[in-house]
Amino acid sequence: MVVEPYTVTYFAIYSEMDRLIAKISSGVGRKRKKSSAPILVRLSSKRNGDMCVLSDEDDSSDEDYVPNDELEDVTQKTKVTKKKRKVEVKQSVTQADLSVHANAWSNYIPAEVLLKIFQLAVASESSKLKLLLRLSTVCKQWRSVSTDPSLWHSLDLSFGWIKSQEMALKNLLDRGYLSQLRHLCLSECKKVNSKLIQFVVDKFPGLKSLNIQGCDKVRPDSLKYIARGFEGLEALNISNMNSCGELSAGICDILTQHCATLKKVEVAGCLNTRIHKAVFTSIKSLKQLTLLDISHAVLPDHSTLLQMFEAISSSLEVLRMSQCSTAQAVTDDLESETYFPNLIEFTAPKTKLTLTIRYSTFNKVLVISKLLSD
Amino acid sequence: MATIAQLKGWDSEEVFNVDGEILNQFSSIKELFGNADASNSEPLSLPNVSAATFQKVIEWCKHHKDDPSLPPLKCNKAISEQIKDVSDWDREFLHVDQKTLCELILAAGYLGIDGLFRLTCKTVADMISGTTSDENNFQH
Repeated sequence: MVVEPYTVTYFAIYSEMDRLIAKISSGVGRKRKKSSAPILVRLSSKRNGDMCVLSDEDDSSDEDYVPNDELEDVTQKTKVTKKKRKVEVKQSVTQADLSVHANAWSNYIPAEVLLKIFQLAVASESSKLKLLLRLSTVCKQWRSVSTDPSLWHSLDLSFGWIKSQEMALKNLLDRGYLSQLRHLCLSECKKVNSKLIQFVVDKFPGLKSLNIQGCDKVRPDSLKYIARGFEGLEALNISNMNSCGELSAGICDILTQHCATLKKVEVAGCLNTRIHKAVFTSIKSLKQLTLLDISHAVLPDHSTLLQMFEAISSSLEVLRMSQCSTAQAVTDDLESETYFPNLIEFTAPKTKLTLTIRYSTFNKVLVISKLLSD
Repeated sequence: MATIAQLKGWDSEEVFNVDGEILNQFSSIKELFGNADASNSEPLSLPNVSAATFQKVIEWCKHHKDDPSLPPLKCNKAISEQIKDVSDWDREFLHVDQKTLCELILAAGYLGIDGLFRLTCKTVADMISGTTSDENNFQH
C-alpha cells in the first residue's frame, strides 16, 4: 500500500479545517469586526439563512465588500486612501488567519472540484458578485478558481452599489472574467448612460439578457445599438426609461431584430402615450414570448390588441398589464376570446378602466370579453 | 448478490466485500473487475479512500442503489435546477464534520459516484454561500 507524503500532515491540517467554513461564510464579518454593531447583527442573521436583513445597512457599508479598490471610483481620492489603509490592516489579519486553512483546502480539494462547488454556490446565491468577491479574498487558489469565466455568467450591478459601473465592467473584462457573460443587470443605476450601453454592446455581443430598468440617462438612440449589436437577446427589461415618446421606434427595432429569440420583454412605463401602436404590432412577431410586461401602457384599438394576444397566447406564461388604459372608445359589439394555455401569472388592469377581463385559474384561460367604452 | 470485488482503504487492512449492485455505481473502477470472480484474488487497495470513508460511501450506495442514473449536467441550464432537493436521509447522512465531508467528496470523485459527488459538492456550496434558499432567479 502506498502512502502519499502528504498523509503525514493530513490529520494535523484537518484539525484546522472545522473552523474553515465558518471563517469563509463570515468572510466579510471578520473584516468588519471593527465596524459598527448593526452590521454584525446582520451577518449573524445572514448565517442563519435569513437574507432579508440586508435592508438594515446603508450603501457605504456595502462598498466594503469590494476586496481591494479595483472597483472603486478613483476620483474619490480621500475616501480611497482611507479605505486602502483599512484594507491593508484587514488583509494582514486575513492572511495570517487563513493561510493554514487555505492550505488545507487547496491540498485536498483539487481546483476542478472546487470550481464545481463554486458553481453550485453561485447558482444558489442571489448576490453572485458579492459571493465571488468574498471567495476571492480567501486564498490564492480560491482566488484563481473564482476568476473562472464559467462562474461569471451573470453580473448584477443594480442599484449602483458600485459607484462606477463602467470602470467595474472594464476592470473585470480586462482580467478576462467576463468572457462568458450572459446576463447583465444594471437596473436603477442612475449613472448608466448611452456611452456605457454602447460599451456593453460592443464588448458583450453574446449577451442573452439585459436589464436597464430605470436607467433614465439612457437615450432612446441606445436602443438602436441594442437592436443591432446583440446576436440573440432573450430577455430585455427597459422598464421606466424616462424618455417616452421617442422610444417607440427603438423598441420596434429590437423586437423585429430579435423576434426569433426574445422570451421576456418588459417595457412597463414605456408605452404611456397613444403613439405606440407600432410596438404592439411588432410584439405579434415574438413567437417564443413567455413574459410580457406592458404595465402603464395606453392600449391600442381593440383589433390590434386582440391580434397581438392571439399571436402570443400559446407560449405566454406571465402577462402584466396593471394600470393599463385604453386610448379610444370602442363600441360594445366587439366580443372575442383568447386562450392562454400556459398562463401562470396575470396582472389585470384596475377595474375602473374600460377593459373587462375575466380570468379563470382552473382552465388557465383568459377571456377578453369586451372592451367597453366609458 | 455474490461478492465480485474486494476493496480496502489505504489506512487499514479491513477488507470490504462489494457486490455487483454497488460496484456498478463506482463508474471509474467497475471496469477493472469485469466479469471475473475476484473473491480469491488479492484485495485491491484504494489509494485515496480511507476505510472509514469507504464505509460511509458503501452505506450511501446501498441506500441509493435503485436511483435512476443521473442525466449529465448541461452548462446552459441553471445548475441548481438540475439538482433535486436533498432528501432527509441524505441530510442526516451528511450531518458529519468537515473532515469526513471533504474525504467523501474526494472519494466520490475518485470512485466516480456521480450522485454522491453532486450531493456533497452541493452541501459544501450551501455552506459557502451561507444560505440554503434557492434564490437563483436573476430575472424573476
